[in-house]
Amino acid sequence: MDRNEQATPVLPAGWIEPVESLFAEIETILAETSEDLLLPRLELAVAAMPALISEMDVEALADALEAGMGRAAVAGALTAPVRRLPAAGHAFSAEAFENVAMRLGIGLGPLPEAVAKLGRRTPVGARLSSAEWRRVPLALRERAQFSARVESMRFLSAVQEKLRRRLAWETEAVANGQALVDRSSFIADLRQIAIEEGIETTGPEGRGTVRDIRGAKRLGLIYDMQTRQAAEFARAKMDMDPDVLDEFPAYRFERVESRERERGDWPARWEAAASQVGYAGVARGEMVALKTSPVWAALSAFGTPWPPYDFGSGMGRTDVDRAEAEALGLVRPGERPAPLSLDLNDGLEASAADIDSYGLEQIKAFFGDQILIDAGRIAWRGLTV
Amino acid sequence: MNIEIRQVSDGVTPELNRIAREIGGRRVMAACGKELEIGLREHFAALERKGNAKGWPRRHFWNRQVAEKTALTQVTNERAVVTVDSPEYAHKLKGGTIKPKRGRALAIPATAQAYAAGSPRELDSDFLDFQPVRTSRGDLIGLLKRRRHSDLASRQERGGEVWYWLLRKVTHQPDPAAYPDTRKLSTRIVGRARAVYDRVMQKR
Repeated sequence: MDRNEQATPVLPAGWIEPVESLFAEIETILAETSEDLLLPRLELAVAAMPALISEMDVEALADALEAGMGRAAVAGALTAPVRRLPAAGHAFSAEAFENVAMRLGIGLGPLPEAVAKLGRRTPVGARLSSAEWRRVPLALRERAQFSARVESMRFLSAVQEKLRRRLAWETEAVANGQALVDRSSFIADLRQIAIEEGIETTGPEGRGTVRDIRGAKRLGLIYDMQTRQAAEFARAKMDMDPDVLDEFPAYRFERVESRERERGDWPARWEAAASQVGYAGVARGEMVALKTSPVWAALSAFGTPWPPYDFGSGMGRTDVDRAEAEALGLVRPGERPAPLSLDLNDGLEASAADIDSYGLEQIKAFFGDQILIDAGRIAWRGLTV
Repeated sequence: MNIEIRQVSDGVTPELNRIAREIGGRRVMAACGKELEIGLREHFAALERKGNAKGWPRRHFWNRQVAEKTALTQVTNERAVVTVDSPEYAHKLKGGTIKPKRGRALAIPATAQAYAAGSPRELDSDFLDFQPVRTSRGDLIGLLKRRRHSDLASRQERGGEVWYWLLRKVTHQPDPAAYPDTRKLSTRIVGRARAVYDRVMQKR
């Protein structure tokens, strides 16, 4: 009579106990053993399964349990995923460790918060200079894709789209197929659009300088500034995670990129910013401050707390850990700093109450129907090409 | 978009597991993930300080294209991931053959001035002339040379020097210096986990 016609097998009393013990032992081994010893220890554990489970009992158990689980439990397939690990080296996905092991990894790809931040900008054209744009409320300015003295929506929409693709690692159609946006293609393509749109932002004396929207200096600056701002925002946002902030509560302000001619006034600018905020969260005698200190926004030429702090600046921030922050008196032992929200405004809005009537008239004059002022709030309409 | 994850464990896992069981996984992973980010940025900063091999004007690749684009992006009870937003860094790690996507050739700088200027597509004015190179083999198909003005007095003003080599394709080997020493990183990470553990246990 074949096995399929047999009556339901009578299983030995307490048959599940050795199997359960084996599962528990394997779980412990996975949790506590280094990779190089893992496979031998697992094989020993399986081999030591009590003789109570004979080959005949194996078949009976396999029939009694769910088919896949049974075969895996008794045939040693449990060790099969583990056998794959040494061959795969550092690139393994290790499902076997899913609920047990701690995993640290280095990924290559977009920074999601950087993509999201850029995605919240809307093209806004205006003849405003850089200095005039700085007088626009920060919450509005941070939501605008603008460039000084540029009104062309086609140009600004292209800036927005190309930067978005770069940050999202999305390719664009080019002559020989698909390619990622890079700095040189950004400059070349936007220059072409500026020429086609007839955009002139300077006279002959300014050709090739940062005032010239057709020049590599200006276009490169747009690319460098915005990609850096987006990445630094992403870093700053994760730094406000309560557990990250607790262990690394401060930043040091220092040079991260050399210059042939350095601005020599950064220490003075730091002191001025620290004084402006009453030294709140600022260490004395060092350019170190809590990540939540208002000094960072006060230091910036743009009003945002994350780098860059000025056009073309090589200054940046490095993390200061708990021990050093306590030694500097910035945080008390056991004190958990409260995170700061970095989303300057969740909507495309700023309060009109923060702006005097002359400022409001100016904003209306500058931006026309690109801006909506209603019930005390100002917002970009989000016009696109 | 596929994101590759390279594991940084090397014996770290059992120690992190032990500490996490005692004081909570997320706290440990947050601290260790941040330590990993810092370690990576310091690795890139060291490469940035070396400058380029030819001593040409700096373009700050390792800071602008890599270090500044490196951030901790994910923290859970069991996992922490640091992401490097740099296709250029991915190429350094993996190597490979690059072919032109825009145009017929890749422009390789032949002088410090060309290197500082970047791609010929970034140049503001048209002062380079194309000269084809007729060869039966190899990938060199032409040159971009500074326009010649034979009526000018000085040799430098007369031009004619090669600014860019134009190649059909370029193949790079993986750059071993690009990938950080994971053993050193692992030591830092375990040290950070133990520091968190000591601090938490002192409070209790």
